[in-house]
Amino acid sequence: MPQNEDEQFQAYLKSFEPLSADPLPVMAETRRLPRSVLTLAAAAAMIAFGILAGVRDWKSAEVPNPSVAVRAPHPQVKPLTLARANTLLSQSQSFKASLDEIATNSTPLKFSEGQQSALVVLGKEKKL
Amino acid sequence: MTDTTNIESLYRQHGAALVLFAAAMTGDRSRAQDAVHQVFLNLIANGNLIQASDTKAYLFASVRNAVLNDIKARGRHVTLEAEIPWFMPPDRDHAAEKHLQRALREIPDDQRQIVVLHIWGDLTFSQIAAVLNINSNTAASRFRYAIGKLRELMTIREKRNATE
Repeated sequence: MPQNEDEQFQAYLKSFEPLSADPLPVMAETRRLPRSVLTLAAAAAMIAFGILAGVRDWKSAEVPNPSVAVRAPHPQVKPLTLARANTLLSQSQSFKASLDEIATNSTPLKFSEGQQSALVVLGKEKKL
Repeated sequence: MTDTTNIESLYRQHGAALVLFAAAMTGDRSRAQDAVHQVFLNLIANGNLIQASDTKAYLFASVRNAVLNDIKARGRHVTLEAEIPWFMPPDRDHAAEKHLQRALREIPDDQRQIVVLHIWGDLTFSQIAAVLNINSNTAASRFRYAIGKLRELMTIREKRNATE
């Protein structure tokens, strides 16, 4: 058989490429590693977030929020004076409504030592 | 570069030819793939890269030993019909791939191994001699005989197909 033909035949055989081998199991695991690391990192982040949220809730439960606990003063609440009582009685549609207004939206006046409220004095005189 | 990275690089470089060589010995590509995996996983498990002077010849010799051990343990399994391809044929000529695979199966084992090692493994006759524990002149003469036989078988098939 001529050598040239032999070489041609060998070249023809070489044109058939062996099928590629399946990946090594170790190589496949190495490719998966970053994914598992990401999963672990995500789980760790979720646990850390949960712990922080828990601590924050626990602290907020321990110290009451002053904005909720302290009742803001009603803007319409005014000290009860004789003049205001007269005004309320004259402006209200009924006597009962004026009494309700006095009872709910009035604060007692603060007096220095020796002073008294005129209403308190009149009230005492009325009782007698 | 770590030893594992080196071994993976060797696998990417020679894996296909090694699997073909093992398939040429067993007749079964999946068993061939297992044998090659076993060799490389052992290399990784041992933690040190091949100390042999000729890495490529060492790999082929290791695969050959793994296949021989497997044949000893489980017996030879040669499928008559070549259902699983061994090659990516030129111009997607799958009929030619079947012809080649059948022709390879028809020549004697030792000649088939030499053809695969020389043509697709790119091993020299002295490297083949080291892998198969034979004389390099014997390797060369067996190769020439095998090529002649292969060519004859493939020509007969081509003529038969032409007349059908």
